[in-house]
Amino acid sequence: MPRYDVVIVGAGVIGCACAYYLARAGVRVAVLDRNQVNSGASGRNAGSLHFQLEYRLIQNQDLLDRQLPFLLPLTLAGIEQWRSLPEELGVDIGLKMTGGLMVAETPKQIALLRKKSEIETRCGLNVEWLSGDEARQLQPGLSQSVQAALFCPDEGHCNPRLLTPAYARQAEAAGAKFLEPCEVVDLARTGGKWLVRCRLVNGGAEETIQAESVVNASGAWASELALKANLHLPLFPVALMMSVTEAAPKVLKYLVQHVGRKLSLKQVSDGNILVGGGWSAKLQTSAKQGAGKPEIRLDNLQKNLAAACDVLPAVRDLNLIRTWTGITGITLDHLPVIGQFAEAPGFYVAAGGSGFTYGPTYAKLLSEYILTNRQPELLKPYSPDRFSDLNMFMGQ
Amino acid sequence: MRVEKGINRPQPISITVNGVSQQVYPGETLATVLFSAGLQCFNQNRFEQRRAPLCNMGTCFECLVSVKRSDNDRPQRLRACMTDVEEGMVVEAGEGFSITPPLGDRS
Ligand SMILES: Cc1cc2nc3c(=O)[nH]c(=O)nc-3n(C[C@H](O)[C@H](O)[C@H](O)COP(=O)(O)OP(=O)(O)OC[C@H]3O[C@@H](n4cnc5c(N)ncnc54)[C@H](O)[C@@H]3O)c2cc1C
Ligand code: FES
Repeated sequence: MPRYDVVIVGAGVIGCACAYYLARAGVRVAVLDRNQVNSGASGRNAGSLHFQLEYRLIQNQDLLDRQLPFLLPLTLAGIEQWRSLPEELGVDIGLKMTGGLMVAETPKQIALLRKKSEIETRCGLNVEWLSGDEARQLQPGLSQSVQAALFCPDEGHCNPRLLTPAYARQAEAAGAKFLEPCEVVDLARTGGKWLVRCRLVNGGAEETIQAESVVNASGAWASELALKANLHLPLFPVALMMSVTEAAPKVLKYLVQHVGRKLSLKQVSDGNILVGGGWSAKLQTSAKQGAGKPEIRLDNLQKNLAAACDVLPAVRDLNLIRTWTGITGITLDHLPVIGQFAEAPGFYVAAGGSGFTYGPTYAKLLSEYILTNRQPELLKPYSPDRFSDLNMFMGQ
Repeated sequence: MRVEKGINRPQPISITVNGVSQQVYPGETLATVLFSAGLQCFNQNRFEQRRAPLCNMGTCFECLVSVKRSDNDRPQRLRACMTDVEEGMVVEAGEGFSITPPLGDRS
């Protein structure tokens, strides 16, 4: 029976980055994925690095209060880590950290942006208030309808097609073993060891791998995998759409987001403009939960593009060349779940949240947890223990 | 060049291609019409490379041409392989047509 220190299930950004940080520390790691490296949300997302407070946090005071003490250190750790990533990974990952704008178009949105700016300034985040004209001066081409904006100089974007494979290559170079396509079908803990039963997707052969610890990095499917270890993890799949225009002359210098509408805009180095913001596609319901390819929703696509044209009118002149979908996972409180299950020693998870922006940071902190067997301070608000009521009659 | 033998076509309509009026048939795509007019290059991309249709099914975007539905319409850059001819269309295509989007200030 093959034996590893850590088996990681899921080869998205979280799984591959975890593999890298662990293998680098001398841990024997295997990464299993039922598809390919980067075939999940990590290779399909918008690639936005957004460090400003999210809309849902501003709306939920209780959540905000719980998060606030951790927010700044986590954000600063994320920013610092991103800045050093190209050098650390040794390849181009299409990283641009030139700044990001969050715009407001109506008095109500301005009020929300004000509130956000006050909270952010209070907790030490680097944001600057701009009037509509100042925003247009900074980013020519923004619509007259933009009445105010918050600028965060550390925001930006990175190419999701490059980041995770770069981590995977470095992890492999450090000794991590990648098994794909290989689906985990069962998880059990006996005699203090984890037995990971998996099936090679093409060959059909089943194999059992032994590990000291298991990392559930299976993204939107993390609850499905947790259940195989006899654990409940309330994480739900959501299907989102992304669109890209043809290449255009350089117009957008910054990441552009909206405080009151679902919108994200960025221009990649080739000139294409990516349009997203969290508009949903239709999840398949016939197959297993969250399985199968979601269907594009034309009504939502139109609203997404309308928001883009309203904020950056030049988009109206461009051809849309592709729209695609991806599936990501959310929790009831919208916070990520990162840590070890009290009910199942050695079973770790990192899923949910803004997993691209913070994926590298979540992975690094979780690796620290595994290496030292001590929960890093920054991970406290995200422990799966907050769902332990659900696991009273579950576990290993 | 069109196959004539044994084919019944509807009444021709006329469109303008690079300033020259052309007789074409309803149901034909712009790609068909441009090929039959002898055009080999449909546009120049932003690297000033000459491009021509590759997939003929709407995915590669190599066949972009400039189309106005009427003389005073705003030109649109459309895929020739996915666009059916319409009476009065004004089409610009070929080496002289650069597909670089005109991203003027529309704020
Ligand atoms: C359209 C879209 C846009 C987004 N935009 C942004 C953004 O701009 N910024 C941001 O921060 N976040 C964004 N996100 C969220 C972000 O993409 C995710 O949070 C992040 O990629 C999650 O990474 P992951 O490694 O956890 O999961 P994934 O990348 O989904 O990887 C999970 C992997 O697990 C594998 N797997 C699952 N079950 C099993 C099993 N039983 N056996 C073997 N393998 C299994 C899957 O095949 C998959 O490859 C977006 C998400 C989507 C869908
Ligand atoms: S030839 Fe490929 S899109 Fe028209």
